[in-house]
Amino acid sequence: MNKRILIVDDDPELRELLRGYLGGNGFEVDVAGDGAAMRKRMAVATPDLVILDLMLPGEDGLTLCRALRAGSAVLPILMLTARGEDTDRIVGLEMGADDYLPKPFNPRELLARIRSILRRAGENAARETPARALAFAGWTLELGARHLVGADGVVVPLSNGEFKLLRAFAENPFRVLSRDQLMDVLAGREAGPFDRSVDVMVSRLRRRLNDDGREPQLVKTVRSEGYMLAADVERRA
Amino acid sequence: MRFLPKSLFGQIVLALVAGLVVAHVVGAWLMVDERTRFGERLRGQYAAQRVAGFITLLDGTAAEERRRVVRALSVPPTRLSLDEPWQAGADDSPDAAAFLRRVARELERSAELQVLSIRRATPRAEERPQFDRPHMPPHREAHAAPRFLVMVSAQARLADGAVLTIRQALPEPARDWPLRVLGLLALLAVVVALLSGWAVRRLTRPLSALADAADGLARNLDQKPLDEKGPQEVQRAARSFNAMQRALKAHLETRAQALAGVSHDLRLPLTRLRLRLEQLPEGEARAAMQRDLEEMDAMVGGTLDYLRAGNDTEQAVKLNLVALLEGLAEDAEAAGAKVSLHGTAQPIAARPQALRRCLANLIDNARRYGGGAVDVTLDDGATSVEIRIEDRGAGIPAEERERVFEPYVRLEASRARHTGGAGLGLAIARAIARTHGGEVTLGEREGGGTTASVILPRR
Repeated sequence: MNKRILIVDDDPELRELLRGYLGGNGFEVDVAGDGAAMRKRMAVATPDLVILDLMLPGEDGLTLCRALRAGSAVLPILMLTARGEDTDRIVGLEMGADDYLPKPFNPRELLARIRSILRRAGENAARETPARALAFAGWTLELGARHLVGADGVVVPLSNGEFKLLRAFAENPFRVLSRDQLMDVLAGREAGPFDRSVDVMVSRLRRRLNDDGREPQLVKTVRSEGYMLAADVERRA
Repeated sequence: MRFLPKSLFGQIVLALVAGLVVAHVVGAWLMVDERTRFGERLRGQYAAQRVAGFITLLDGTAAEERRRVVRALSVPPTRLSLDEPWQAGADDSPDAAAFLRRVARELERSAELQVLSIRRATPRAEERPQFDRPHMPPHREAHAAPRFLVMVSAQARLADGAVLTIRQALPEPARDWPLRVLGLLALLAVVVALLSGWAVRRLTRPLSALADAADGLARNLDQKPLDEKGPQEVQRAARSFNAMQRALKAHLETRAQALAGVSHDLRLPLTRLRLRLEQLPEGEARAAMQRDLEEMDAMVGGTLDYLRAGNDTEQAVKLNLVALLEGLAEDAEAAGAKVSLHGTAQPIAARPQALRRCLANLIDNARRYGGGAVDVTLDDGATSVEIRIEDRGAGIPAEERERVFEPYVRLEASRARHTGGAGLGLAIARAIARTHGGEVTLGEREGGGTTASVILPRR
């Protein structure tokens, strides 16, 4: 059965274009112009995913996002934001959106994000509210700002690769991740072919975490299997 | 004129102290002069009484007794004589007339009197008056003894017609500077100088603050307003300055809002265009249009980034610069550059996302125009950190090095479309560095290429 997507945006032309584009890619598409219309549509048919514009007349996207999240912890939400406004991005994630996409977006990118969110939602149907930060062993990985904060409060910026790798570890504590799995995590990188081996990336990450002694205690090597984060992780919403 | 102080503070203090010194010197001189005049009047009075006394005494003395009495009275500083004749050519100066009037006032009868001379003379030893300081120790007396005397010579006809000639020496006191009063004046001068120095410093300090603020305004319109306190004029200047800063800011904000509005509103049609393009069949025309769209997108995005670079709401945190640069180096290497990192630095207070964008823009420029090999050097200092990003590219001519920081300015050589970019990367980098109180400059690299230097103060 086709997945149902509800688009909330105040520009009627854009709504229709998105309806055409996503419809052409195998989704059932429903549209609404504002919060009130959104609630009406949701009463008729529950969507599998809501695409929410940040700038809406009346109740804005963040308010609607919070309301949706309060009603359902599992409904996936994709926010359309102003371009690259990092504060908006962080706020959006704090309000419980699963992902965000800045306008003007590439339609194919939108499609990829929608599929990725739906896949994740399908994997763990009873999933928790998206975390804002993952804390372990004195470190805090902030998912919005994509950086690490040490116990001393110093912010440690991460490269894209380091962030993806660490996020994968922190979301799966005490689970061995194979090199192939980690390669998949990293392959989503934006630019260029992946040119460093997973091992090099892991050793960089260990250095970031001050865990680069002879016997790493935090990111442990599991012989012939892969790597594992040996720490309890606290999810902070 | 070379030695005049340059600062307002120095000049005002100099003027105050100089005025004070002049006023004190003149005042002290006037006071000493007044004392001297007073002393002279007293001595004149004394001499007149003495002369009148001799006349009265000798009037009442029998002629045969007079010589004995005159001899007895003729001890320094007075000499009396009955042997001189009435002399012609009396002194008729105003001093002499005044002296005669005094003597006449003291006499019980009117007598014929004349002053022969009133003059200054070096006293002979026996004339040195010993009379008014008997308590002085000898050495002190020798020192304090007046060096000049006023010699008054006068003649009077006694009641029986005999002529009495009187020579009376009066001590002329050394100008006796009253040390205690002068000391007090000096103390007053020092205290007033110190107090006025303090007061003037207080007055001129807001002026320096104003100058600093005017300097700072050119770099940062968001600097905190001046304190509107101090004397009225200073308050007014500070208020006007703050008002000017607000007006400038409002003006710039209006223009930025207009630009932001256009850029912002372009995003919706751009998004729609992208979706419409997806409806077209694949082909060369569609690919070309997509490239054009990407470019417009980059311009709009760059403009918004630039406008936002100056007034970001992101919070400053303590930031690990080494990790930031290593991460950026890795991302740049993924884009095909070869980045070497040198040096290290302690964490610094900065806005992480903004600083990442600033440094990413510079590394990206070095990668694009610099032939791919990029050297990044961290230079840590007590008051600031310098980050140098160096390439081995063609370099930028010295006269263009400032111009390329202006928004939308690209060098002719790089204007070719395929290199992309709206000409905002450096403008954004500089705006971000300046919001951190720092600066970005471009220079020539030794051995060829460009050095981009970011200086971030530790605050």
